[in-house]
Amino acid sequence: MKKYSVWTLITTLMIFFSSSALAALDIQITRGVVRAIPIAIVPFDENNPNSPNDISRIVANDLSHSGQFQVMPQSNLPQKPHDADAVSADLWKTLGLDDLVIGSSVPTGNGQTKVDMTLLDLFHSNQSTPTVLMRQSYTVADSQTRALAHHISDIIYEKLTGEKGVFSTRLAYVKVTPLPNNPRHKVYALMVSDVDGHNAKPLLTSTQPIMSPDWSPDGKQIVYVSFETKLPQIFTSDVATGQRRLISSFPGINGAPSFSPDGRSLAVALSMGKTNPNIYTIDLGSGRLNQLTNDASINTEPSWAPDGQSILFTSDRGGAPQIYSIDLASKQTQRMTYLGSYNASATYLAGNPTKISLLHRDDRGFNVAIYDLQSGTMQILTQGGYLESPSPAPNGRMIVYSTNVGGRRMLGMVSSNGQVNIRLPEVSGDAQAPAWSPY
Amino acid sequence: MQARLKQSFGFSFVFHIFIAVVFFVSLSDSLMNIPPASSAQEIQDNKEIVNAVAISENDLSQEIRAQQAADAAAKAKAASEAKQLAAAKAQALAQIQQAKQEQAALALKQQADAKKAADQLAQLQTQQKQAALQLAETQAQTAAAAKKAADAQQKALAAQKAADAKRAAQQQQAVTAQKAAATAATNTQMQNEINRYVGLITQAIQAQWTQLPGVDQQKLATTMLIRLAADGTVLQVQNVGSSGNPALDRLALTAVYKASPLPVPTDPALFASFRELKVQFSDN
Repeated sequence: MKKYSVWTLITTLMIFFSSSALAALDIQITRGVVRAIPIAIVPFDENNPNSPNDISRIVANDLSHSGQFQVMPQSNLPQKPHDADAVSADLWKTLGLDDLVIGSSVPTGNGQTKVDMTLLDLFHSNQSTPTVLMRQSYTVADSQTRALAHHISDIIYEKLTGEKGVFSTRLAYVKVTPLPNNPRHKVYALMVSDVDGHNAKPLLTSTQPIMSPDWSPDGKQIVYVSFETKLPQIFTSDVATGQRRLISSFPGINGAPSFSPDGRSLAVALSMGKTNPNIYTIDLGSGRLNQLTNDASINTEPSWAPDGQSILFTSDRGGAPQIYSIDLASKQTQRMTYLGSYNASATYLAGNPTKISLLHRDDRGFNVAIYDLQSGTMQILTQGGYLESPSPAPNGRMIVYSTNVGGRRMLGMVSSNGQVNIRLPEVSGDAQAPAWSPY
Repeated sequence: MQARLKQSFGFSFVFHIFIAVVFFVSLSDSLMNIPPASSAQEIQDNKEIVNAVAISENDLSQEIRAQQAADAAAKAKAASEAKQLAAAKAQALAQIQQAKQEQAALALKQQADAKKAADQLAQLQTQQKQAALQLAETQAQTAAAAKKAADAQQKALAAQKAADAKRAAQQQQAVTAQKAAATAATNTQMQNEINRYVGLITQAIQAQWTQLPGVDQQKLATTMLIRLAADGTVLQVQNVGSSGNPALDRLALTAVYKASPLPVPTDPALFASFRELKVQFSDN
C-alpha cells in the first residue's frame, strides 16, 4: 500500500514536471555577442602591488593576452577582498563582470610562498553571494611563483573557456645581439622563455647564425640549424641538459628542420650539393634518408600534418612561393594555396585539421594569416607588414611571430581571431624565429 | 411393328407349350388315379374269378360283354372327360386370359387412378402452394406496406429532428462564431503580446550571451529551463540539455542571470505563459 502511494506520487510528479516542461514557452537564442569574458583579478599581495612577480598581475596578463578575457584594470577595482565571504556579488555585477579571482600570496619565511586562489562566478545563481567555481592552495618556492601564476592562469582559462590554456608552455627563439666590444659582429643565442617572454634563458650561444628552432613533441628537445662551422648543420639540443646531437651535415643546405608528431623523425630541406633544396625525412633512430620532393625549384619549410601522413612545405615551383602538401606514402603533391603572390611558413593549427597558419603577402606586406583549406578563405590577422616566422600555440588560439619595430625585430602574439595582438617584452637586440612549444 | 409381331408370336408359342404341359400333367394325374381303383376291383375280381371258377361260360361271356361295355363306357367317359377337361382348360385359359386382361386393365386403371390421384395431389399441392405464395405475398405486401409506412414516419421524424438539430447547430454555430471571434481577437491580442515579450526576452539574453572569440560554438546547443518571478527576476535556471562543454553551458547560464530581470508582461494572465521559459542557445 505504501509502495503504491509512493509510485503514485512519483508518477504524478513525473506527469506534472513533463507537462510543465512542455508548457514552458520556447525561446531561441541563436546569436550572442562575440567578446571576451569580463573578469577581475584582485591583487593577491597588497604589500607589493607593483611587483612583476605578483601572481595576480601575471594571471591578469596571461588572461588578457589570450584574447578570451577582458581583464578589468586594477585601478578600477572597487574593493580588494581576499576572502570570498567578503565579496558582494551585486557590487561586482554592476561593474559588468562575470567572474572574479581573489587570493592571497604570503611568504612563509623559508624561501617559500603560500598562495590561495579562488575563482568566483557572479552569475551562477540569483543569490547575492557569489558561487565558488574553484578554490586552490599552493606552497611553492619563491622562484616558482611565476610558474605557479601561469598554472593558475591555465586552470582559470580552462574552467571558463572549456579549452586547455597555454600559459605554462614556452617559447624558443633566436636572440641576436651585437658583440659589446665589436658591434659589427653579433652573438646568436637560442633562447627558451616562458610564453609571456619572461624567464628567458639561452640554451646555446654562437658567433655564427642560429636558425629555425623547432620543438620535439614531448617538449624535451629543440632542433635547429647552426652555422657554427660556417656551414649549415642541423643539431638537436636537450632543453634540460643542453646536450647536443648533430643530425644532418650534408653538402649544401641543411635547413628548416621539423619534428614529426611521433618525434621519431625530422623533415628537413636539403640541397645535397645542388643550388636548390628538396624535402627529405631523416629517421632519428637509423639516420635513414627519404627524399620526398625531387625537382629544381626551392622546396623548404616542411611541417607535418597532425596525423603524420603528409607534410606541408613551401615551394616556388609555380613561380612564386606557395604552400603544397605531399603525401608520405604516395609522394603525391597537392598545391594548397592560390590566394596572393606569396604564401609561406605554413603550420597546421591544433584542433582544426582544415586550418593552417601562414605568412601571407599582399599590398599590406607580410602578415600572419589563417587559411581555411576547406572554404579557401584567408583571414589576415596582423597589419604590421614586416612579419616573419608564425608559430601557433598548441591550442591553436594564438600565434607567435617576429616583427620589425623601429628597425629591430621583436616577438608578438596574435589571437587566432585577430582580436588581440600584443608585443612581448622588449629584449636587448633582435628576437626572431620564434617557435611555440607543445603542452 | 415386326418386333412386336415377333414378340406376340413368341409369347403365344410359349403360352401353347405351357398349356400343353398343364394338360399333360392333369391327364397323367387322372390316369394314375384310376388304376388303383381298378386294381382293387381286379383283385376283387380275381378273387371273384378264383371264386368263380365254377362260374359258367355264360357268365363269363356276360362278364366280358359287361367288361367291354364298361371299357367303352370308360373310354367314352374318358373322352368326355378329356373333352370336358379341354373345355375347362380352354375355359380356364380364357378365364386366365380374361383375368389377365382384367388384371392389366385393373393395373392400367389403378395406374390411371394413381396418376389421377397424383395429379390431383400435385394439383392440390400446387394450389396449396399457390395459396401459400399468395398468402405470403399478401403478407409481404402487407408487411412492406407497414414498413413503408413506418419508414416514412421515421423519415419524417428524422427529417424533423435533423431540421431541429440543424437549426440548433446553426444557432450554436452563430453563438460559437461570435464567441470564437471574440476569443480569437483576445487570443490574437494575447499572442501578439506574448510574441512581443518573447522578442524582448530573446534580445535581452542575446545581449548577454558571450561568444568567445575564435571558439567554435557551432553544433553546440544548450537548453535551459528558467523559472521567473512575476517581476521577471530569474529565480532558477536548470540545464536541461548540456552542450557537452561545461564552460559553454556556463556562458549560457551567465547570460540568463545577467539578463535578469527579464522583460515580462505585467498582466497576470499573460505572465502565466512566462512563469517558465525553455531557452535554447545554439549558434548557427
